Amino acid sequence: MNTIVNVAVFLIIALTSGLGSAWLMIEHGPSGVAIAHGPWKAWSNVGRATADPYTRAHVTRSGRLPVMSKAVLYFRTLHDAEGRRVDSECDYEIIGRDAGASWWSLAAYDGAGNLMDNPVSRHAYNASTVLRAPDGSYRITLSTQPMPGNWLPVDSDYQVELVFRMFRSATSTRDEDVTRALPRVQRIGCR
Amino acid sequence: MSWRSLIRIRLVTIVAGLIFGSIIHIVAIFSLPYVSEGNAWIRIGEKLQANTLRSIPLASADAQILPFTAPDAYYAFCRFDLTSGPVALSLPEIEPFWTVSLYDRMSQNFYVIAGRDVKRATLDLILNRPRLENEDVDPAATSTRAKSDVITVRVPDREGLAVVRAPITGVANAVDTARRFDNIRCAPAS
Repeated sequence: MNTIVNVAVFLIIALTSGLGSAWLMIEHGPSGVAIAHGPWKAWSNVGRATADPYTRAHVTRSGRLPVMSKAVLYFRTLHDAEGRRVDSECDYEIIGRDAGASWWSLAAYDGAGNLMDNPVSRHAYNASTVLRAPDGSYRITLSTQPMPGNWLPVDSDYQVELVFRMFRSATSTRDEDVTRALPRVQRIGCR
Repeated sequence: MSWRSLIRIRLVTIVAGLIFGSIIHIVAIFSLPYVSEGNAWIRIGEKLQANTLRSIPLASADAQILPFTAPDAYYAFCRFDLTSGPVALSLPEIEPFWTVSLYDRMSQNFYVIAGRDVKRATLDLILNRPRLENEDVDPAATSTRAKSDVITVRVPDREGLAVVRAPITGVANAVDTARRFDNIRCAPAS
C-alpha cells in the first residue's frame, strides 16, 4: 500500500511540475526572454538564430509566423493599465502618440488570436489611419458600441487581446522610443 | 495499525518526482517544435503548391489563415522546395515597411529583409542549399551577400516558407499594394 501511494505521489509531482512548468514557460516566458512594459509583453528573441528553446516552443505552438524582432516588435496584452482583463463588456480608451520614426499598428483579437466580427469590418488602426489630436496624440475607443473618432469595434462576450506591432525604422529604434510608443489601455466603464 | 503509519510519503519520493519533473520539462520544451500539430507549416505550408506564390485576401473575421494575422497587411506565401535546385523570389517593387521573411518547417524565422534595408526599389532573392564543405567558394554566392543586385540566401533545410508582408500605410495604398503583389514571383531559378 505504501509503495503504491509513493509511486502515485511520484508520478503526480513529476507530471504536474514537469508539464505545468513547461506550459507556464511556453505561454508567459521566463524573465529576460519575455520583456514587459506595463501590461504589454513581447518575446525579445523571436526569429533570432540564437533564440532560446522557450521562444522556439512558444512560436511553434502559437501557430504564428512572427518576423524577427530586429524588423518588427510584437507587443501583446490581455490587460488594461490597472491589470484587469480586457473584456468586450467594457469600453476602453487606448491613448498614445508616435515615437521615433517607427510605423505602428494596433489590432484587437479574441483570446485565441481570431479577429472578431463587427458591423464595419474594422480590426485595427495604424500610424496611417488613426485620427490624431493637434498635439499628435491619438485616442482609440475599444467598444462594442459605435463611438465617435477612432472606434475599434469588438464583438460582445469576448476576452480581448491587443497586439501592438512596431515596425522598426531604418535608424534603429531606441528602447525609450519603444516605451513611449506603447499606448495606455484605460477602462472607461462597463455595461 | 493506523493509516498514518501505513501510508508514509518518503522525502526521496518527492525529490525524485521533482527531478523527473525537470526531465519532463526539458523534453517537452525541446520536443514541442517537432511534434506540434498546430504550427504554421502544418496549417498552411503543406497545403501550398511548391515554388508558387499565393497571395491571400486581407484577414477578416471570416477569413484568417493564421492566428494573430495582421488585418491591415497583405500577405503572400511561397512554400519553397529546393529539391530540384535554387528558387528565385522576385519583388519588382518594394516599400520601406514591407518584409520578406523565411521560415523553416518549425516556424523559426531564419532570415528577414525589410524594404528599408534594400537600396533599390526591387528585391531579388535566390534561395539555395547550404554550401558543402568541399564545394568551391563562389564569392558572389556567399550567404546573404549580394551578387550585383541579387541576394543569395543559404537555406538550412530543403523546404520552408517565404512570406511577403506589406502593411497598408494608407487607404490609397491598399489598392496599389494589391496590384504590386500580383507582380511578385516565386519560381525555380533558371
